[in-house]
Amino acid sequence: MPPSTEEQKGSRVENALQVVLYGGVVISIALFIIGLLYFAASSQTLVLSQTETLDEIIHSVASLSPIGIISLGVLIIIATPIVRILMTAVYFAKRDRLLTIVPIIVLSLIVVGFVLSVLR
Amino acid sequence: MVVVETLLILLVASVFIGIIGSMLGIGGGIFLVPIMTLGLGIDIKIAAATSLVTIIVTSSTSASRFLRQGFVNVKLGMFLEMFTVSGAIIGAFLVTYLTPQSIEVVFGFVLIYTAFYMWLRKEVECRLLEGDSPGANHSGRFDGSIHDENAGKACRYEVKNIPRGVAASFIAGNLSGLIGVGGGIVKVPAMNLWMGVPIKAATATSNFMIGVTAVASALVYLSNGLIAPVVTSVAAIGIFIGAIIGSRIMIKMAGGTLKAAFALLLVVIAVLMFVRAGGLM
Repeated sequence: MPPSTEEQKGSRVENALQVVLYGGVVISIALFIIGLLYFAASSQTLVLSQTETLDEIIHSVASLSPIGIISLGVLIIIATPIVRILMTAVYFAKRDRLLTIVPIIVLSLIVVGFVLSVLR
Repeated sequence: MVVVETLLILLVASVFIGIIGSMLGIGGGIFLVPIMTLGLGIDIKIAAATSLVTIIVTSSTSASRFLRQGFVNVKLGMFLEMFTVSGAIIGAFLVTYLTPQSIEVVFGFVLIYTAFYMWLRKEVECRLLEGDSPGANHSGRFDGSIHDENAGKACRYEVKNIPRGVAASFIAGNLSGLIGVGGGIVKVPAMNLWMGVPIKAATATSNFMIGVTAVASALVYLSNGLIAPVVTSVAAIGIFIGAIIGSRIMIKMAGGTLKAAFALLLVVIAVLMFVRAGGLM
């Protein structure tokens, strides 16, 4: 039995996930390009190994400095799969009990892993 | 090396890694990290953090394109990523007690065996469901369908051997936590050879999953202040371009060619594993 037209085009959840994933990455890449051009136009010295702590990231994002714009892009790209997990949990909430629980477990594991590594 | 020159080399290298990662469903950290550390003299921790962020870029870019094509098995990907993430967390803690070199050597041999097995085994691409095969452990919940533009036809596939897939996903996560390699290169053969998922659906579903595993580790690097914004952004732009090119190539590629390319990649990674275990990298 060949797949229906709906299956070939992708279901609603697949379309929604596609928008979230591509939207997240495009916004981040746009911020990276703007930040890099802004950085090039400014008189700041470029240091490759320059890293930022979480506090510095928050301050630089708030001040909309070139590094702040790039850091905002980093935060959005990291948040993208997390939003994707949340979306699948919401989508499957009334449709499939197992696939509602699975994303919640995945998110909990990410949080637990993060907390354990910080405490270690 | 001049800073701008370094960034340009990183950009070009990232484009190629993005193409490979997107086509074959892997993160590409095994290539990016040595290029950044050995080739460009960037600190290993910054390289690792950059690699994790770029895996999310590869995953999000490729998966979004493969979702549009209907290649991704969302339910299967969601289910298996639960075991990959738990495996990765346990692996990250086990690393204190195990020697990565011995794991790399054993893993290298497993990869070579898998490469030959993949090379020789006929691809079960585009197969219409015709009743249950005896002896297989079926679970209709995760069955999927895929339209193959190259073959010009649509087909359904049944996902079997779920327990083996669960074990492979857990081991894939475990290895990525232990030696930083193993996500896609374990999951893709497991889904294809054991679970009966066509190679295109397997690589697309792997791409869908790898971003989530990378997030768990990326958050740790972010909180420890190890992300270098400029280096990360340049690599991410390169990976984004590469992932768009790679996903377009993969969509048009024949399943058999993709399988052969994956087998070749496994051999290359196995060699890199031996080199790394020998302390040369």
